[in-house]
Amino acid sequence: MRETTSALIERLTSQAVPIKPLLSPWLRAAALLVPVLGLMTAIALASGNPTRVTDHFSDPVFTLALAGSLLTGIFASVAAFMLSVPGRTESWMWLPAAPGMIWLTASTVQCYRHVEEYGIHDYSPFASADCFVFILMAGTPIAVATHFLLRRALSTNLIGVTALAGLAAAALAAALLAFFHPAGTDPVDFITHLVAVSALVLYMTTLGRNALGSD
Amino acid sequence: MTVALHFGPAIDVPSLMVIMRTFRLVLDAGFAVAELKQTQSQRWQRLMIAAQAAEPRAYSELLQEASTFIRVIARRYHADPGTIEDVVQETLISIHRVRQTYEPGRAVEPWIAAIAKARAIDALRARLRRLKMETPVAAEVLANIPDTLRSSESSLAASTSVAEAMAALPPAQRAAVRLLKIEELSLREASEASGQSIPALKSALHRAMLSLRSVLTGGRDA
Repeated sequence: MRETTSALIERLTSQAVPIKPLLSPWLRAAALLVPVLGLMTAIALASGNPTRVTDHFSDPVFTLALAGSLLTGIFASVAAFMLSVPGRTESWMWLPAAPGMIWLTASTVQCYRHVEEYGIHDYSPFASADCFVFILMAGTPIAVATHFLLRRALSTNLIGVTALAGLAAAALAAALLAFFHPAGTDPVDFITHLVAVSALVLYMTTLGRNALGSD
Repeated sequence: MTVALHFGPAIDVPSLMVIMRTFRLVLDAGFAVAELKQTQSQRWQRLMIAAQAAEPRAYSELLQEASTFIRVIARRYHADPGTIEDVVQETLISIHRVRQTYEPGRAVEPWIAAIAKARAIDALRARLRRLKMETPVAAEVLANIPDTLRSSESSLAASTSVAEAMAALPPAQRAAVRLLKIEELSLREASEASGQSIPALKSALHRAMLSLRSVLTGGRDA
């Protein structure tokens, strides 16, 4: 038989030890994003091709796609930290929606341009396999770091938080990919990027849910 | 003396005074309620900060007052008093486990309400899962159950044999059955209560269920 509520309160009170409140979600998001963005910049400058990227800044579609993926990552990360704390409004879930739409739309326009210029030819579905591997390899450490920072928070919206964390990792990895990738996106590239982002979101939702949801 | 309003009938001054006084009283009452709510909210914030510092009296006071607040939320989702009390207790345990997520300076009520709502929905899901696993039994089937099986003696005998079978289990397996199957704790809670790791608990429970089944069916299922 279960104990009474009064007995439970007495037991919980007797077990209480001083605890340090978590930092605010803004600070925890900054603790993730500042080093991640710093590291991304260092990798892009050291190993990537920054000149190719800066050369294409005059193309608004390219710039919008890059800014969209970067802002989707940043906003999704902030939203994940906000929603990880009970009592915050669920509207935070929609924070990455606008940059996400910009990213998707700009990538679609890039695809359209590519098809218009080169026509539809025989695309190999594995032509962009290296993009897939890149997004997963660069996104996984970011996802793990996000998971580490979220582990002490109880989310009342676990699926939302883990999906946002996965989206943040994938979108930041996709932004970094722009420095290693020819400018513009063909249809196979676009679909491969979408599959990689979805895979990372699914991975975080499944694994993160099991690990964070055991509370 | 009367006052003529451009958009309505003429009102005499005493009536106007009464209307204005009534309006003022209603306004004051509204402010008083708002102030009371604010005072209550600030009090809970103080208690929660003290609870994070493990001040037992403040923590106990907060949990007592919060349980009334949680009960109101649980009633929106459940009608059964037992389930409502389960939700209250699960919420209090969650509050205890994640009290570090409360950010000092913010209102405590939305924080507690979100946890209570999540636990109430968990209870709803658990109930749905149970309902899916149960099969309705036709009345005629129940009517055909022999009286010997319904008698309190046979129930007593059954419960005694279960108790004996439980007593015969090794302590770790007995603890796993008690915590996970009788007290219905989660794996993490059971692990904290017993000091066994989650894989060890799962394995102990599996072995215990095999032993119990073998003892209670006389080895027919083994």
